[in-house]
Amino acid sequence: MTPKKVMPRRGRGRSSCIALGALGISLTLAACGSSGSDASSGSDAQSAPTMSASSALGSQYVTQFQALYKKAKADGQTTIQIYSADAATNGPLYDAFEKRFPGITISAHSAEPGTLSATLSADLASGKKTIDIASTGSTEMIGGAQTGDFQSYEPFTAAFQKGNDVQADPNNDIRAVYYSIKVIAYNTSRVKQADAPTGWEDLLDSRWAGGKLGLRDPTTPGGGQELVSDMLFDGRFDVSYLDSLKAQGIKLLGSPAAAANAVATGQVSVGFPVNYNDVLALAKKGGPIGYVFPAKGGNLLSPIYQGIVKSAPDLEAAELFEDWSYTPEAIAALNTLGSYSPAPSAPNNAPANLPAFSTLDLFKPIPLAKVNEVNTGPAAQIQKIFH
Amino acid sequence: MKSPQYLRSSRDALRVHGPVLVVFLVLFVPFVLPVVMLVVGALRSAAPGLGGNWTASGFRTVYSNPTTYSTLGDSLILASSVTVISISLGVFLAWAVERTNMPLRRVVTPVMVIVFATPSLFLALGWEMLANNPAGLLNKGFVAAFGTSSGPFDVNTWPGLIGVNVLKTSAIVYLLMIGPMRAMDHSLIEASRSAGASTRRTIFRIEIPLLAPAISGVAMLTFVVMLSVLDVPLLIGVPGNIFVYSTQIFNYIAATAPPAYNSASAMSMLLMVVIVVLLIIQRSLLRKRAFVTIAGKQRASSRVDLGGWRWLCLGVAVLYTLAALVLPVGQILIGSFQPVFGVYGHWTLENFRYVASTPELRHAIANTFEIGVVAGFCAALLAVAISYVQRRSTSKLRRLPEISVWMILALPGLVLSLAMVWAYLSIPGLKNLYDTVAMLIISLVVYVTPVAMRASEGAIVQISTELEDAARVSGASGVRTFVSIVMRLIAPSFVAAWLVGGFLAAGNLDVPLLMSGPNNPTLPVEVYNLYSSTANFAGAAAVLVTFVALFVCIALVGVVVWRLVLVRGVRRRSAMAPGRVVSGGRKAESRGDVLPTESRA
Repeated sequence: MTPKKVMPRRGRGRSSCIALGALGISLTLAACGSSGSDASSGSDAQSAPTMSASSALGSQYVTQFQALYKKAKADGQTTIQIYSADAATNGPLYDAFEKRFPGITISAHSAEPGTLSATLSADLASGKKTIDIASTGSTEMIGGAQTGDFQSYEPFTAAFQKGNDVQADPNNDIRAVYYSIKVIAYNTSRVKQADAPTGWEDLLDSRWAGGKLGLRDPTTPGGGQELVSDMLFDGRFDVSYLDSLKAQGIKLLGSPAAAANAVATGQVSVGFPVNYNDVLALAKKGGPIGYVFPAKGGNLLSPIYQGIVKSAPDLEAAELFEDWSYTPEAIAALNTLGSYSPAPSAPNNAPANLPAFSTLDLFKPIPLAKVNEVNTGPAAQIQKIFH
Repeated sequence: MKSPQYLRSSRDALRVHGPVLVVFLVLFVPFVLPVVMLVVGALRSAAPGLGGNWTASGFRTVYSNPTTYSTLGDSLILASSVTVISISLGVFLAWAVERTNMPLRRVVTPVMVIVFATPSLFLALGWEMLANNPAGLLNKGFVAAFGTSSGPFDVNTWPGLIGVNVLKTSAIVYLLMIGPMRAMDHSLIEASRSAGASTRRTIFRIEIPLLAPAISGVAMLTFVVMLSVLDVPLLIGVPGNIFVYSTQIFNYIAATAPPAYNSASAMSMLLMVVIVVLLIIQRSLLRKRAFVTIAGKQRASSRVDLGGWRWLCLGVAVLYTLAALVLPVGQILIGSFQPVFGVYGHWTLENFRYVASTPELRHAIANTFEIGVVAGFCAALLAVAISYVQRRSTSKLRRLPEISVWMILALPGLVLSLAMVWAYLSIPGLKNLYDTVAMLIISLVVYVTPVAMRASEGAIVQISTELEDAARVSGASGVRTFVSIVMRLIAPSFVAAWLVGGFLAAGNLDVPLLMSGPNNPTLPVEVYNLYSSTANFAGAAAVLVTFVALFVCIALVGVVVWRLVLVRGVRRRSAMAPGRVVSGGRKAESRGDVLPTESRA
């Protein structure tokens, strides 16, 4: 999957000379080699199908979209700057938006853990105000909302989130825009499909002891912390489960991508929680990796939140993207990326081979106001167990 | 008419302290202000510029947490172990290359340069793939060869963490020690041998004491860098449940909501205190041994004949080359041709197509070259200026610029990056540079200047003041004397500092992580994004291979041009003058001193 990033205009000319060398070397190598049919470009398969405006946007919203689109273009807002944890993988989503609204492009930049507030405040302090939209997990987005990094906006397509204390904060500064799916991944060279763990309880089986399990580090924000927090908040698991997990001799895994790679390369036989879309990407390239979406004991979905940055330079264009994010067209793009949309109106809201959103046995959702408390409350205990 | 006494005193004070104060003022905004902002940040409830109140809660949180002290202990273990081993290895290899008849010794320096130029992230990633248990290639090979159920290697352990760091730092130690080793006053060694001392006795009683200033300086640099190193512990240590001081600081930023900048800053300040104490101890120790000097006539000395031991020395060099270069870089190279990094059996060029077809990556490659060249040059220039003023000054304040520069090393990259953002955005003119390559260059100059100083200050020490005095007597201004005498004489060391600084700046990840945006992407940040945000490790490997291939091409062109210029210069000089005077009327030796030469006492 190709990261979607717009080349800054200022840099094109300056970089061209040296870049020409890189291009030359790479093209020369590419020209004399095999086609690499199993390789990473997957944009064709993941492009959203073409839809009519009314079916893509919802017939009741077409007029509002047209008005906003016209206003954004009239104001010269032709590039939306998005600062996102998933910038590198959300290309097809941004492509679908650009195709729907020609003349407005998206420039997406990766948000590294712990840098959201610092980056947004630096952006404001510099006076340049380059960022329009920020999007990442709950922990950092809540921190940003608390420090006043965002401005209130209620997308006209997301009325379903009104009063939902899990999906939006009371001020409408941030709201859930999609759910990142977490699975138990296993190395298919080491584990047969029939032998793979089917749920969280299975991970305590003695056959997984001795360094075969890899857990995303639960002491830092991310999937590991969410799994542990959700389990404890849900009530179906308690600290004794974590102690037992630790006793299995688990390895701690860093980033989501590192966790998926650790499974594919056999560093661990089973890794969890691993991003479903990372598993798909590696499997598509021929990596020996499979997954189990836990059928029992609770499904783990990580809500990814989005907010319009205070003093966003391209406000109407940013609002247009926010509104579009809950349309059938965006939901279809999200599904092909391997994510669920929080919009309840989509009847077939499910990535391929996964059950519909409405049928999931989710861990009890944590209200936004309680996320920090739930995450940090047992932090010392979790740190003690896993460090 | 004579000037009044107070005016004369003021002029004298200005003459003595003026240059130091000027340098300090130049350093204030880039070097000192971030440290000041860090102290402010430690005492505020929110990041500077974001409101908040004055509070000591950051200090209370950090220093009442037992993890602070346990991770500090672990960092001290890591820093001590890496320093001792890498100093031993680096100095030994520099000695073997410079002073013995070890076979293939000319190959060692290029190997060290390549290891030095390889980002730590890739060294760590290469070893993670090689020595992971059970999936690493070495373990697989062991199991296949000996029929055991599992292999013995596990990189996610203390030995693995120390070992991977040693591989990188040994190259730095070697490159910083080869110059002093070359510049040693060999007449003392000859005298020792003539007096009947054995080779071993000469090494321990003459050569090592002669190198004490250089070794202690490099050791301190290594120790300090290892106290704040973050990338290798994150990649190698954390999967093995090993947490050090820098990962704990990182956790206050990345694992706390909202980020506890005040706690991270408060924690970093302990490192700054440690560095100041170390500086004082080092200077105090060396002052007591002031009789040890390196500067002197560079008489050629015969190499030590190691006899059969030279093969043992070669074995050490070969093992190091295998561990630091062949195995990890080979792993990266192989990985760049695989659809999935670390999964063998399939080959593809898709990753290189990806590099070629991604404008952001090409932009990043161009920026990275620009940063390496410009930041390296500026850091070398600054380092020379600071060393020169410090060496020539009699002011009691002459340590001030040095301490200002060294403090920066105490800060883990991400914290330093935050402090710089806070500091620079508070300056009206500088804030306009946000999201530009210029901002990155300024920040990286600050980051690499301490190391560039380490590489250049020895050369300053070696220059006699006689030539400068002669130039001044002849009517040359101070600036002209500095440019036409000092800079010309230290040119090789300046180039070395430029190279060292340039490599470090170009390969740095932590500093640009916060400052790199759509208009100023850098290669390490793009590679890190590929590594941390996508499952495309093979693409990241291809980016590195492309960059290294470009670098090698440019370096080869540079070498050819350099040689052409050198040959033409030698011809011109030989036609015009009988010899080049370096100091006290002695002729320079054509030894091509391409690396730093000495540390000052």
